[in-house]
Amino acid sequence: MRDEPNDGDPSLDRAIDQLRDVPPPDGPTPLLAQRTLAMLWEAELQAERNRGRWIVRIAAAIVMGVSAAAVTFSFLQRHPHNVASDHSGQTSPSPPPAMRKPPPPSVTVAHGDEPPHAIAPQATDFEPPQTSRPRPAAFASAVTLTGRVYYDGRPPVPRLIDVSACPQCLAALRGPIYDESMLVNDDGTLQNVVVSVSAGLPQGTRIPVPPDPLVLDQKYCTFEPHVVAAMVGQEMLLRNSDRLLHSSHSMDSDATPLFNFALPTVGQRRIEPFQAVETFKVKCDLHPWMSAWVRVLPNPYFDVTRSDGTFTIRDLPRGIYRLKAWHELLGVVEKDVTVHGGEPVVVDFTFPGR
Amino acid sequence: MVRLATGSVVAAAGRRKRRMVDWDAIISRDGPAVWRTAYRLLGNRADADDCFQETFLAALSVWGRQAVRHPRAMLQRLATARALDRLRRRYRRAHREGGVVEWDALRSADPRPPQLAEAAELSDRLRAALSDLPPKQAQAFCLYYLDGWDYQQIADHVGATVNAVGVLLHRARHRLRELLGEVGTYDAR
Repeated sequence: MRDEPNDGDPSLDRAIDQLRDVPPPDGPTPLLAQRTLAMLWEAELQAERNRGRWIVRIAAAIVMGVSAAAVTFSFLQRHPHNVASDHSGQTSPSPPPAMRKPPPPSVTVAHGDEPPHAIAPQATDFEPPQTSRPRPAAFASAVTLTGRVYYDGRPPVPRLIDVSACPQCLAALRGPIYDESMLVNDDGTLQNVVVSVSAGLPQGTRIPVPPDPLVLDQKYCTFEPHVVAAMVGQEMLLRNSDRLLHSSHSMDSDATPLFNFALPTVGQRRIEPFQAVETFKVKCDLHPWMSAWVRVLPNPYFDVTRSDGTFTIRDLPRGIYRLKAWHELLGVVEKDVTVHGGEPVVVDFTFPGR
Repeated sequence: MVRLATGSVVAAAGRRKRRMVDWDAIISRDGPAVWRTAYRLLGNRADADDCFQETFLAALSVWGRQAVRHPRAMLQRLATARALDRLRRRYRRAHREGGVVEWDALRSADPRPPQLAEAAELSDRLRAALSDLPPKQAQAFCLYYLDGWDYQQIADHVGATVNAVGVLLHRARHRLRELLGEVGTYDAR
C-alpha cells in the first residue's frame, strides 16, 4: 500500500481494495448533470440578486444621510439663533444686533440726477417651493387648488402585458408590466386623470408658456408617464431610455405636427411646439402594448393625478371656474368651483363605475 | 408603473450576462470523477446523486471566495467531505433504527458467490468504520487510499503539513483496524 507504514492488516487492505477497485456504475446521468447545472445557475442568479439588493440599500442609506445633512445645514443657515441652546435644553436669548446675520445686499437704483438710494429687499423667512411650471406673473398671489379623483366602482385587476413576443424587451425588463389605462388604488383613487381649468379665466390675460419641454420617456418598454399634459405652445421631448429600438408614432392628431420616427437606442428627439388644444395618442409601432396620451390645454392650470390619486393646481387667481377631469377610458367629469383667495381649495372628483 | 419581480423574467434577463465559472464544462469534464468518489463511499446511486449536487453547491461558494486552480481536486475533496457527512448520518440513524437497507445490494435475486458476499460485507464495514473516524482523518484516508492522492496534495487541500498528513493516515488506519476487528458492531445490512 504505497509508502504508508504497513501495519499488515489484511482485512483492512482487502476492504480498501474492494472499495477502490470495484468499478462503480456509470454516472452521473445526463438528467442529474442537467439538474445540477440548473441548480447552480439559479443559485448564482439568487446571489446576484442579493448583491443588487444590498447595493440599492447602501445607496439609499447614503442618499438619506446626505439629504438629512443638507436639510440640517439649510435649517442652520436660516435659523442660526434657534439652535443656540445649552445642554439644559433652554434656548439662549437672541444674539446682540452686532452678532446677527448681516442683511442681504440691497439693490441700488439710480433715477437720473437724483442721488442713488437703496431699496431694501423684503425680508422673508419662507420661500414657497419651486415648481417646474413658472408662476404666472399676473396671478402671483393666488390660491392653490388640490384634491383627489375617485372611481366609484370595483377596482379592475391590472392586465398583465405579454411581452414574450419581443425577446429584447424580455431581457430589458426587471419584472412584469401591466396595462396602465385603468389604475385604481385600494382606496378608490384613480391615477392618470388630467384635471384642468376649462372655463372662467379672465379674457385677454396673457399667460406665459412653460419654458421647460414636456418629457415623454420610453422606458422598460412602456411610455412614462402614461398620461401627460402640456400647454399650447409648449415643446415636447420624446426620449428613449431603453437600449433597444422604439418607433414613436402620434395617432389621431389634428393640430400637432405628425411625428413618426425611430429611436434605435438611448436618445431623445424634440417635437415642434403644440399648435392647438387637443388630445392625442402616442404609440410604438414595434411594441403594440406601448401607448401614452398627450393632452394639450390652453392654460397652465392643470395637473395629472399621481399614484395616490391627488392633483395640485397652483397659483389660480380668485374667481369662479369650471374644472374638468379627463380619463382615457372613463371620459370627462366637470365641476364648478369658487376660489375666494387665501386658503387652499379642495375639490374631489368621482367617476361613476362602469 | 406597476411592476412585480418574478423569478422567470429575472432569470431570463440574468441568464444572458451570467457566468464567470463555466459550470457546464466543469460538470462535463469532472462530473464523472466526482460522482465516482461519492458512489465509492456511499455505495448506492440515490445517495451518490444527492452528494453530487451538494458537492457542486458547496463548490459554488468556494469558487465565489477564491480562485481554484485544480477544479477536479477541489471537487473530489468536497465530494469526499459531503459523502463522509452522509455516511455519519446514515450509520447514526442505523444505530437508532436498527439497520439500513442498501437497495443496490438487492439488484439480483440470485444467490451471490461467497467471495462477493464477503467483499460486499467488508466494504460496508469499512464505510461504517469511516463514519466513526474524526472528519480530518476520514478525509485524508479517503483521498489517499480511494482517490489516489499523494501526501503533498492532501496537505495542500486540508491545510496541514505533509508530516501531519502522515500522522492522520497512521491514526486513521490504527482506528479502522480496531473498528474492523470489532465483529458484529456494525450491522450495515
